[in-house]
Amino acid sequence: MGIIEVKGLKRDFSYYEKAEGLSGSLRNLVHRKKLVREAVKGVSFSIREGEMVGFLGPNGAGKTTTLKMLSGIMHPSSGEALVLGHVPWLRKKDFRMRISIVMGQRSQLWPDLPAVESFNLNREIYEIGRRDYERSLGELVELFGIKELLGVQVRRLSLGERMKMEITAALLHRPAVLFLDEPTIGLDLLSQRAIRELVRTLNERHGTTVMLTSHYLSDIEELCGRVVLINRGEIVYDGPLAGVNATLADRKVVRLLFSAPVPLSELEAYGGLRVLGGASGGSQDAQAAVSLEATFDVARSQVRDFSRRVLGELPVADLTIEEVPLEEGIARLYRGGNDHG
Amino acid sequence: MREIRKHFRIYLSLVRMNVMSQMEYRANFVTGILMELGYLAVKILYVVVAFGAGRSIAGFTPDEMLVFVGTFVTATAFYAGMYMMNFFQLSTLVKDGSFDTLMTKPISLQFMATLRRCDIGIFLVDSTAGIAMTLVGLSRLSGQLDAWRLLGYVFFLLCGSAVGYALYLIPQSLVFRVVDARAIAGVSDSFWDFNNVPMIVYDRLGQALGSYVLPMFVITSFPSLFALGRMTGAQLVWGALAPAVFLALARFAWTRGIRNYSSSSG
Amino acid sequence: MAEAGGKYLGSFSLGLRGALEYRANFVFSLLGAVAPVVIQTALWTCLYAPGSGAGSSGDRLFGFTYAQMLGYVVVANIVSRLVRTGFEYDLNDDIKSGGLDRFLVKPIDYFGFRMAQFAGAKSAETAFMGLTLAIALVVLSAATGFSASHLAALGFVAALALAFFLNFLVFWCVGLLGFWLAEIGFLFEAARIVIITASGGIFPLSVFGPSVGSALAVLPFRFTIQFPTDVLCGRVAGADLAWGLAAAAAWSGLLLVLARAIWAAGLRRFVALGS
Repeated sequence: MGIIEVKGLKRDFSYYEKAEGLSGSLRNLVHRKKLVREAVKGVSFSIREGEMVGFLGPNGAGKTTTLKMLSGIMHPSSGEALVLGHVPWLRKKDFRMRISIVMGQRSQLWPDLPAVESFNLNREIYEIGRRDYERSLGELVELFGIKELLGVQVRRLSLGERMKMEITAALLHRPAVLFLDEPTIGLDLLSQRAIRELVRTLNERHGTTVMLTSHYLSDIEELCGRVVLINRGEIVYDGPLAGVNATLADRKVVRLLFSAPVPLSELEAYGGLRVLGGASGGSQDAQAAVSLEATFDVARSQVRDFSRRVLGELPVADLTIEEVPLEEGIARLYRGGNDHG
Repeated sequence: MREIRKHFRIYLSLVRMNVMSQMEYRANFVTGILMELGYLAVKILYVVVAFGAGRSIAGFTPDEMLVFVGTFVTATAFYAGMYMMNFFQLSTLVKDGSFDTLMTKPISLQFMATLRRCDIGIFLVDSTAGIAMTLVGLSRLSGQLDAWRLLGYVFFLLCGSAVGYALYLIPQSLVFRVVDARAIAGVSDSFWDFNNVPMIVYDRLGQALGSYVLPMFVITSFPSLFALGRMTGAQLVWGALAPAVFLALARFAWTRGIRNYSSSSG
Repeated sequence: MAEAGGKYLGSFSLGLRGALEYRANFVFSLLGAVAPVVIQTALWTCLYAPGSGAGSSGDRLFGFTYAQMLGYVVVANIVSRLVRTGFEYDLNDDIKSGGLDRFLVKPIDYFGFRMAQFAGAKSAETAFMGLTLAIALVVLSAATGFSASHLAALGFVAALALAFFLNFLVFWCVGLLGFWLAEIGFLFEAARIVIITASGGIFPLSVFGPSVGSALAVLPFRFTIQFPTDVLCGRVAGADLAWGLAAAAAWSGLLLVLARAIWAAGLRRFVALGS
């Protein structure tokens, strides 16, 4: 019996259609159309104590909604779940004492006061004893290296520093289960790394169960041994990171901008031509079949060779290497395709 | 109970944090006091009218009006200084996600959402002015200022403020359905001014409605009536019972509101 | 010329659409007007009641009979909501965020833009409020025999138009304080309350007594609420009405000059400080 047990969790949202323009606004005065969106379509999974699981999926996939249901913020439309033996949305005090949630770009700290004041408030809220508090705070401060920042007003801190404070505040009471919703979004690389380090250390030292959602694969790569892929409200994959990593990260997208038009035939010769004329399909001369832009699908292992070749052989003005969009990777996974180039 | 002591201690911390926070924004602090003085001037205008007209209002002399308005201003100290701004901020809290985070903490959500913020400037301005007005009025009426009367006055004032809190909580529980709760807060806020005049000014039906159905008058008129020795027996009983009844009702509305929020928000 | 009109029309439309979107807000703000009317009606009913030391039915308090006072309560509260502004906060935001830069570069006058948007938002509200006012007047005439002559109604429209313009100018000047004050905090709200009181929006200015009352009557504020209200209620007619409208127009002109001057000074400071 896992520490988190989920069975057939579903969640629908209803919302109103928004009309455009003046006539639309006037029409809306009288009548608005109601629509339904199935955010979570019946997910089931089980997480053992001490596991770190990453929920990966594009925006709107249902990750945050699932997290909200498991932390007690939202009622499901149907289905069951047990976290630490409690039904989350009943919000029993014992449940709330032992979990913690951190949502990226959201703050529970008082902006005009030093973080330590908000920490103190949390100490009282979570009924942490003085000694436990000192110990816990000391550990987190040391791991994050934020000692000098404790007395600085939260609003004066950089985004990365603020996030570290947020996470510190959330972990003072040593929760058994930690929910992280897009915790590194918008942060610089160094802060991202620091946060991942800390979470991993806590997991190793105290056996904190971690459920992390993100749409960045790198978040999950570094922390989680297990990945759950969610797309459009359904679980598409639930298993070891390795299984997914290969498929999602095995290809890259290379975009080229040319200083002079290049004939289509020449571009096709390289193979893996995705789109002629860049992502937006512009600057293309259909008649003469030449182009100033081109986008290629390249196997990760081949990226260097490919780049060297095109830079040498074509009049490249600009070259960008990007990740394959997550939706595409997931779609490919869904299809079971594994096209290694 | 342990929980009550915990929340009380946390409230003291919150007051401290609020004061510290406010001191960061001196412009806001000063202009906030100016604004409150402006509202105070409007309330006092009703007394000016009473004195200027030079006649009694349904049997209440201008000096008694002074006691009424003074009590009203003191009650406003609790309303505007302690809980009103939380109601105004409720939809902001919901929109920026802080409400969600509060839901996961082992502390009363109602407590945090409705009492988290307080304004010490407003509280001091209104309580000082209100108490001063009440004392001046009472002393002009050949000062019936014995200890029991004062104690009873304070008791009914506190009961009234509890009723005020509950009355404002009930419509705010709709915030979980309606997107902009500031509009609701705005309407509720205008209802607060019904206490600017003694309840006796309204007709019998109005007084009954305002005492027993939507007990606004319990907030200000009751304490004043007690201080002036004009309270009926029924009012005495109801003045003591009303807070219990309405706090329970407010609690019910709130928990239903939370239930709706968790079930239907997007 | 049509092109110039076009961009202001766009601002008008923007204001109108914005007002329509927040329809729930608007309805609630209207509900907020109910309380003062009820409270004051009850108060005056008590004060004018026989046996409270009053005289006959021709009894006057602060220069109003009972019927006249009730008329004032209803109309002044509605007019007060009608002429209400709110753009001073947006103006301050534009100054603070440096968003003003956008407008300084565009070939559209910021003052014109704000006024057009104000007019747009007000058209939506006025249409609705006009209906409310009409209904309120019907109720009033049934209760107190209130009646408004056609000339009074016409004069009211003229006075109201001037009131819109005047109130816009007053709060435009208030908003311009943002050029000099780093943080405005609640200053605008404090100013609003004082101005509404000085405009006769709470009680007619005569309640302030002879000295203060006449001092307030000299200021421009009374033309935003008290004057249009008195016109509709028939307390100002004939030559007085004409003089009043002229005075309102004169104040508008004066405030326009003042507004332009403050704007120029503020803009100099804005540009010099690099926002």
